[in-house]
Amino acid sequence: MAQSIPKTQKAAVFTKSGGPVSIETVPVVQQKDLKRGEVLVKVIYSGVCHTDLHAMLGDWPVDNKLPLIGGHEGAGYIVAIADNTDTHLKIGDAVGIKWLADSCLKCNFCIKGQESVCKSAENSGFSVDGSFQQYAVSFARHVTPIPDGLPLDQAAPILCAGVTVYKALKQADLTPGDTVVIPGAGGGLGHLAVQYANAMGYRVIAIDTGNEKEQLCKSLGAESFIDFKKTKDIVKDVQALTGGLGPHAAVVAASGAAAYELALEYVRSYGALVAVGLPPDAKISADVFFTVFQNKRIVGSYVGNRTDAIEALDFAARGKVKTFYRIEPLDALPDIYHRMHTGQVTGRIVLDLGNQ
Amino acid sequence: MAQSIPKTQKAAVFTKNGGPVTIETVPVVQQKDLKRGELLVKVIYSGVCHTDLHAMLGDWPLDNKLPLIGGHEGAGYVWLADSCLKCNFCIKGQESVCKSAENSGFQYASFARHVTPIPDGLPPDQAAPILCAGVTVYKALKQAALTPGDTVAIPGAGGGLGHLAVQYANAMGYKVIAIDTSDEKEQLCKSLGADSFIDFKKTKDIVKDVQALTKSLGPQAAVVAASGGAADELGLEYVRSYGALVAVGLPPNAKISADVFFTVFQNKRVVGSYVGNRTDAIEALDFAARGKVKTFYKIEPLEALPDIYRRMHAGQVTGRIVLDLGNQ
Repeated sequence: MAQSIPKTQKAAVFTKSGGPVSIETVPVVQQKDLKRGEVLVKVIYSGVCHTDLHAMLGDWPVDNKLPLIGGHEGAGYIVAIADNTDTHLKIGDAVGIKWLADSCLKCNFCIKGQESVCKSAENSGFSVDGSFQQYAVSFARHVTPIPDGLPLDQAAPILCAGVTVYKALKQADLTPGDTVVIPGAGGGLGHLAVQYANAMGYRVIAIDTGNEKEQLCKSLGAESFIDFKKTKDIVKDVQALTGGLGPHAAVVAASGAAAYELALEYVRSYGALVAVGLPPDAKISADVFFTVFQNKRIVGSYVGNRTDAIEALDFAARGKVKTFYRIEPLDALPDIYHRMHTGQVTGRIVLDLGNQ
Repeated sequence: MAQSIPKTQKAAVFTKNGGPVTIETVPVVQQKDLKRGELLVKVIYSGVCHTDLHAMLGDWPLDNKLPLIGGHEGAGYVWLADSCLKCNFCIKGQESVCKSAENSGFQYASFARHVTPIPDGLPPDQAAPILCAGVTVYKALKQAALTPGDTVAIPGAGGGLGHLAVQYANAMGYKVIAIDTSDEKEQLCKSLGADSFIDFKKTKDIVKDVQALTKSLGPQAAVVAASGGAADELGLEYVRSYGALVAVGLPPNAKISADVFFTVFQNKRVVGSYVGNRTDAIEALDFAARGKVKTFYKIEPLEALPDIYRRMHAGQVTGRIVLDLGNQ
């Protein structure tokens, strides 16, 4: 089923921090030029994640490559595999490109499954070019097999947003029947977190604002919804929904410190604040006395490993988790960044790359 | 084996925050006046814990009863004097955070369902400090979720909690980096099994020194019983990715500032660990009964308590001080 691989493609590129991002015609890496271990993926769809915006702005305390093709929620097909690559993958396999493009699989972290913190990790759309292009180079050992029957546009956002919240919920160490609060439950990560939480047997208190997001959250299974713009005291409101005690955990993807600090306050004793956001300049101030006295935890949760990605996709393949998304063309990316920056995006936006 | 119970006893009492603490003759509650569920314990030895100092000073964001007889390392009863054993927390073993918890030497006296059986053969003076210091660090090490062979850093390893943490960590199969200051504490820590010792007053960069001992990655955890936020923040920095800062200290006015980005990016945890439940107490005593953990302590008379508080406040105490109450 060998496809002919074109010599050029469209890609969203920027050459300096802050942009602009422009849609360019760039070369396609040919099979003979792939290094051992690499694969060429024909990207059909790619989600857009807030991290891609950070990469474009260059506002993180870690550096990305320049020039850069962003994107790390790519879903597509293998069209080429480098010679002498040790893999079960075949041409035509449906695979996903996630944030963790590659890790060494040999170090003390990798061999325990802590692949995301490998000192030799490569990140798609950050240290290596990513999925905002039609033919992306990625790594055989890390691309994620996409289950048969799961459409690629639905799979794409699972590869970062889905994996991230799924692993965060695992790290919350909850018991079925426990309650988890999800601030930003109407957003890209949040609306998936609501569904994973339900699928894992937890009860969900969704926090966001506006009728549109309330409808979405409740339709996805949130038991209750708090509009943070209408509430006078969110800690009190959250605790009132949990017998005065607070939820067992909160999974927070916010960009400012406030949502994290509020969550640390409203979770019950022995509860966990699971932080998944990556804001460049936010610090949580935790009172030592009460953190100890109430035996609370702050858990940083950073993407997931290969197993987490496979498991996260499986929930989607079985229909337990459905991404709420809109398809837009690659050319819309600069405007999408603008909308994301001003908080106007509900659910996920998925770029159509296959049909350019 | 009924003992005759005297009508009066000696006790260390204070009536207002800041003290003074005075040794008084006070009544002994007689058997007929015990409420259902209560016990009267003849205390032979009691450890002195930093929390007792906080209670005396009244500098915590929680209130203790006044007047108060302090102390919660009495051979026989623990800090967690009682909890309801019925609520959602208690039934999961999270007894320490029960909304109806009573705390010894803070609010109340002793209860049958919570006093900890001391194993035969473990002398009460050695058992006493296990009841708070020992349980606390033992449970903290459990909450670090380590694997045998992992490394844990223990700031304050020469102190009351620290020297026990070094031993529990060893007994649980972990490697120990002890952090403290002075030759005396270094000798103690190494004799108790610490793999290495860093003198925090001599080091220029403790994060670098700790990481250098762990192939630049950092230990998998730090158990911090210190009184300011600084040791916690340093711990959060030097632990490796996926590592844990386990905080056990209860300083009244300290904050840890955690950078969200790096806490997430490095997948680190901050874990507050507060004493232990009845199971933790029994397990902690068992290590001591089997000789895996030995309290390093000095016996002093009850009358020395005000001076002990002064020394504690000035950081001059190595190991534990145990008050002799049985031989007054």
